[in-house]
Amino acid sequence: MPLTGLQIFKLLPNTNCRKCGYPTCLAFAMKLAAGRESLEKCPDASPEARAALGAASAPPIRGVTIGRGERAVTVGEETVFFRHEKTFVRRPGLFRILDPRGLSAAECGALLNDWLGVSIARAGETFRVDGVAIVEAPGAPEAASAAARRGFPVAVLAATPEGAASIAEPIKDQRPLIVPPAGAAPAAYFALAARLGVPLVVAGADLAGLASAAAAASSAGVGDILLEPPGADLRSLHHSLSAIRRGALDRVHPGLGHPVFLRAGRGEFEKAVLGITKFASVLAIEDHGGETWLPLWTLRQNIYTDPQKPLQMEPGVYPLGEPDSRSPLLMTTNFSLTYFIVSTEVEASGVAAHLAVVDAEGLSVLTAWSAGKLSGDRVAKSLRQTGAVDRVSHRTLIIPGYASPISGELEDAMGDGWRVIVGPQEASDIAPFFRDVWEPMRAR
Amino acid sequence: MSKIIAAAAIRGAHACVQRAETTLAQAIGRHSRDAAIGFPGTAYALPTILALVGKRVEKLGDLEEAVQVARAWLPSEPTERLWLPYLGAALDAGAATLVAQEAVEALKPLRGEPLAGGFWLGPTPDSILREQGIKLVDGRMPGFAACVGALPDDETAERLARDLQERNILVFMGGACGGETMAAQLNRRGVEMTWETFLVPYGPNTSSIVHALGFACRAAFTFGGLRPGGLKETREILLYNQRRVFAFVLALGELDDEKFATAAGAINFGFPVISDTDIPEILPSGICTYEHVVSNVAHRDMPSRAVEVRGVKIRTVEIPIPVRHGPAFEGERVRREDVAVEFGGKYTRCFEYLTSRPMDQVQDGLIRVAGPEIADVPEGARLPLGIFVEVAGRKLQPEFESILERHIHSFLSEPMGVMHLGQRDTVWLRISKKARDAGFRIEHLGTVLLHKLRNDFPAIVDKVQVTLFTNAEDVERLYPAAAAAYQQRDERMGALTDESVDIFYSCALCQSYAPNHVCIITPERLGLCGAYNWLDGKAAYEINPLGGNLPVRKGDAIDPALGQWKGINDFIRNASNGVFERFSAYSMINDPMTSCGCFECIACVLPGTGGIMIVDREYAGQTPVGMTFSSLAEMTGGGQQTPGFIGIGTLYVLSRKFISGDGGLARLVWTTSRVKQRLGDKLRQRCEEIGKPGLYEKIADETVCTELEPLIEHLAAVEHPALEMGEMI
Amino acid sequence: MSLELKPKKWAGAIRAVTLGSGSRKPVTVGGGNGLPLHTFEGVFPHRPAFALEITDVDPARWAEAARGPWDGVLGSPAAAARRALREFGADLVMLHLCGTHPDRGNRTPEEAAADVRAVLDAVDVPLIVKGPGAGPRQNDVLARVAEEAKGEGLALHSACQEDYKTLAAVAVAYGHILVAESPIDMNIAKQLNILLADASVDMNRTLIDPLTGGLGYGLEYTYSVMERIRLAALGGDAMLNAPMICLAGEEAWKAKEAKASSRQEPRWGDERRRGIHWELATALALIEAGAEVLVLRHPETLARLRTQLDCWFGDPAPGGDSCR
Repeated sequence: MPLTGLQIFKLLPNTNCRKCGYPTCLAFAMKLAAGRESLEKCPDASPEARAALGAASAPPIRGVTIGRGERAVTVGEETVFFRHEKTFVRRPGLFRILDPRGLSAAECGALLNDWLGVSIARAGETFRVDGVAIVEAPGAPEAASAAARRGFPVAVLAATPEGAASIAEPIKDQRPLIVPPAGAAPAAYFALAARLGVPLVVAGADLAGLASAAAAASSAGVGDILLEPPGADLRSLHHSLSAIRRGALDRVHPGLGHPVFLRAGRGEFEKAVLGITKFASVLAIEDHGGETWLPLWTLRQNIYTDPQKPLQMEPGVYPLGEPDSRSPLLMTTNFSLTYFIVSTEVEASGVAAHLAVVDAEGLSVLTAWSAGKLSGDRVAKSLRQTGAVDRVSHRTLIIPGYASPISGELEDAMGDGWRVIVGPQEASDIAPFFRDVWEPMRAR
Repeated sequence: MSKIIAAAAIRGAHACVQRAETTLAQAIGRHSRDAAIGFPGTAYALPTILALVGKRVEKLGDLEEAVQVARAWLPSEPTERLWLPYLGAALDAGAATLVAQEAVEALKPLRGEPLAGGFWLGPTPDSILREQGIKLVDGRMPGFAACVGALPDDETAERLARDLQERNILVFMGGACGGETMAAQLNRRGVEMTWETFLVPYGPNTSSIVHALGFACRAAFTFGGLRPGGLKETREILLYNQRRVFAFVLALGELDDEKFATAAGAINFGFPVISDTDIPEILPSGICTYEHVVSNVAHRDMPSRAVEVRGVKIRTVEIPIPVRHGPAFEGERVRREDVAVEFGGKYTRCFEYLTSRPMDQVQDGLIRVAGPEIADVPEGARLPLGIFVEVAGRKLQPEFESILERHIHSFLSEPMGVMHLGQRDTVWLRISKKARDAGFRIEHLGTVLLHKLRNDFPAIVDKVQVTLFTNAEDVERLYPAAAAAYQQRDERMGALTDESVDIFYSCALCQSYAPNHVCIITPERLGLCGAYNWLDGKAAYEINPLGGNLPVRKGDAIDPALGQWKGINDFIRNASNGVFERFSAYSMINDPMTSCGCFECIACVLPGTGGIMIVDREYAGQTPVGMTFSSLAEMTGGGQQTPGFIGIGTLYVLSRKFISGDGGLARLVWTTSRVKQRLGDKLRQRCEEIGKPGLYEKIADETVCTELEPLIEHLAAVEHPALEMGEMI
Repeated sequence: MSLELKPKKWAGAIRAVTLGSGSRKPVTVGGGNGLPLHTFEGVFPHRPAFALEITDVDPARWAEAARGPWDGVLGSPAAAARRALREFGADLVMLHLCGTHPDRGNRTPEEAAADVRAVLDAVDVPLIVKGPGAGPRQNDVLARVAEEAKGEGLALHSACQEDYKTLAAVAVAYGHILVAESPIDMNIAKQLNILLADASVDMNRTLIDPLTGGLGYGLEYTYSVMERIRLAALGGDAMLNAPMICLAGEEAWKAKEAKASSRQEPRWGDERRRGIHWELATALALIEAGAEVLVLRHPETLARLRTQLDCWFGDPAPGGDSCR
């Protein structure tokens, strides 16, 4: 049984000195109990406390940061095997592999600029190329520097320790990740990473080999370690990934308490899917196309959403199709799933419409209404603030069926001759609603 | 069981078996034992015999064995001196009768007597059984009536048939009375009798009604997946019928011994007998759900009485009011200028009062308007209104009155053009001109309530009658009773203690968010979402016994101070999938209850104060423990047991049992001003009850401080009792 | 320091459910006693099965990329079924009777029964039959279909909490498997199975459809609900241990991201491969979460999943758990 927060609290000095960064010892103890803090942050912890806390004094999986500044990627610090147990906290970094062979410096730069420009907004998140993994080759040091200059975190897919040094050393302050080639003798890489003070990927032929390699890297002075799991196919890879996470959480070996690094070569889309769902923290992906990246980003968004904090849409008015001032104006809440379902159905109906998304703290319509987050005043205010009221000339608002109890108060709050029509409860009935209710009404 | 009925049934059974044996012997004489026998269009041979005897009869020889089994079941007739027990003997006699009757029916074709002919349809083939039987099993058809005998005249026969048809009840007819049959009566009235019209005449002999029971047996085979076999299988088939096939027997006209024997056979299936003549009644309840035999029922009342006795639930598909209705109209306003008539608000007395009555004192479906109707008053008139709803139900308990009454609001908000606000005696109700012009009258308020109550609460509501008082005199006369009931209900709820009940209710509605979480709701600790109290749990269970709220027997007390019971712990272990062993109802330190995520407030220990703080969901700021609500929620929620932290419903703070195992309300040192305001005077009153009248003022809130150290200073300054109580951990 | 990882053992297992009987070559799914795909510590007698979706009428709403492989047979269920089997290697076929929906063709129960008969005659694999969506029409259609295919062990899709009695009775009466659909909610999934058991449905003849949220459209909910259902089942919950079926294809191809043309969204890459990836990511994630029957739309998705799972469930290569 892990210690509860109260049990840990009793081991702390109870001085509320705030040196750990928390206002009270209890708040700190709760974070420790959750595996989200390290006892090292408490300078006054007694040796007895350290002994009693034992393994629980540090998070089961260390955090590692690659890169610096706004785009720096921090991974690790996970505390659960299943996302529903709490949540997965650190979104894996998706690195795009750049092989400088055959590219001029200018072409490299153009490519990097193009990647830098990738910015796709989806449900409150912006998808970007998180980092660049440079293949060791002529021109790699220049490419790495160019990437680092642009703010990209860099991973070095090394072939030799010397090559790795020549790429990583000039940008060592940007904390590049060094990834040795498969089967390489590790000692030279340990020395390099330790000397540069940068994170390093370690590998092993099997789990035991991996864990001892990580332990050896630690002893050799490498501060930040990522594990590259053994596995030639999805089955053995899945085994390794599951065993590493479970071993880390159960603290069976300190060598397993590090985030995981994974490469997905050309066409290895399935491997990347497995990596994102099963605990990989940094993925170096060879394919560059949107058809690979968009599903992977989206999968990551799904898997790394806090199960207790639903994804939220930005409140506003979203045009579906090419609506004009005579198109229907619909309202829904900012729970992303609600938005997606409603927008999909409206688009499928073939009727162009304005969809006003109202802030309801990310709750679905029915839940939001039950929780009192969907009052007439609140909705009316939001519709005015977002300019939804100015999008149409007909002064008619369609609200979801489950929001019907507020129809009257909403009409009052809207004023100005606005009419509130109650739409269907289920989004799947929107198309018939347009056909049977909206169209005849507009015809009149 | 009545000795007279038992004696008649046993006599009848003897005669039936005798007749079957004779007929069978003749048939065997004329044909061989290998001669094939059976009903057309069925794969279940002779289905009643298959179910009761477990034997597939396909030849005369098989039938001989089956009738021998029936003979062995025959009890001897009760003598003058023997009084008990009759029930078992009569039931055996009934079963033997059904076997004998099916034998007689099956032998008819061999004797050259066709099973069908004229308007008689004869036994039902499997294809129709599957088509119609599905309706019976999925509830589209609420049940079937097996009508034996005849009515006094053709007109009465037609009215009875129509009444049953209106309720979608399938009508089987068989047997005669005084040479007359119900089917012949209907035929003379020109009533169409087919499977499509739900009127199915089997045959003129009493024995033909056995086809109705064969139909029931095959339903159990087909839809219940049951197989024939030995005694155990037979019992399951009978139980299946008792639980799912809502059938009953209407005994029409004088009963002879064979009819009594047949009735006893039907009772085996849980099908009660409703009779129009004066025979001894057999009241609750052993085999049938409620009464077994109810007699002397007027023909007009037979359908409703039968429906009630069998517990048939009839749903209204379309509520008969002249305006559209549904949840979509729930929030609709009727504006001043659109009002046809209005009640309550600040203008007139308007209240709603729902009460429970014994079954025989409610006339189901009766709706009355006492006073002016909508057409009797000028447009925009303001009338007083007393909505008086009387309900009855076999499983209705007076405690559910308030729960049903609370639903009046949503029910009356649903018709288009009706606005309903408030509850109890704060109701404000308007009917729009548009609704009136469409034909909506005050009476229709009753129509809506009648159908919604029956449809939405079929498990507890059997009968509803509504009176709408619209004259001041009646309204004022009824009001004191309503007001007294409101007060009494509040007091009753207040008087309900954890000690006074043996059963708590679980709530697993949140397991979708928090996998291992279970709420245990006690009379003095409501659900942590604040929305569910013990009574709600109780009613929810009655309404849906397979739902998310289950009764949990407390069992032996393990620690009454902490609130631990053996029964609760056993339940928790199971319901949490083995993750939790123990729950304390009254402690947040020792084995506290888990929290899902829906809690209204979080209570958390505050080391250094000897007390606790309570923060509500709406409060976004910092708290003395150094965590905001959202970071506290992260620690507390998700179905974990987190000692020192619990999610609670705000009203729990007022309970006698509020963390009583940890020192109770006197521990409360800090909360948000919103919580203090919401609890207000009631919290002050609780403070007085625990002998700490000044406590309310000593409890700090965010306007005093949001950090620990100033809080400790404040507590010392005001001499908060928690400081004296010692640390909780 | 040595490394000891104990295999996880569970009290319960997933029920093995056999689809298809009578003239069908049966396919059995379920039976595993570990977390999904945890072949390194559990025993899995049956691997997940793949169905391809075919329709009674031309599915106008299908994305262009999903229609391509079915060119010439859309709306011809028998021909499509043959293609699904012979060319695309499906284990099962799901006939979606979308044309029986009153707004989408209004085909009669009789026509639906004829379609089912045609597919049964065309192929010998088990058939999943999906109705037009819960309601009286679906009950009428599936009741007639069930009668037509008596004893063939169809999987009838689907019964829900509000409307299960008719299909429960029909499934029992005609010897079919019943798919119990719940709206991404473990409690309702359990509740519905309790109701079905109470309505005499054999729990060894049900599948759970936890309702699939496609990638980007609620996958996160489905994924976790399925993981939790699986955990409950392994913990011994007899009302949640039916195998799960996911309509991954239908949900994935609904997404704007799967359908949009490369012209509309140049940043989103190649249109055809994007759609397949969308379906593939959805399906693979669902298999990881515990899906045992996957209904797909694009044969290439099926082929790629098949390659992976053949390897996964094949015999390990000597000296390790790699399968190559």
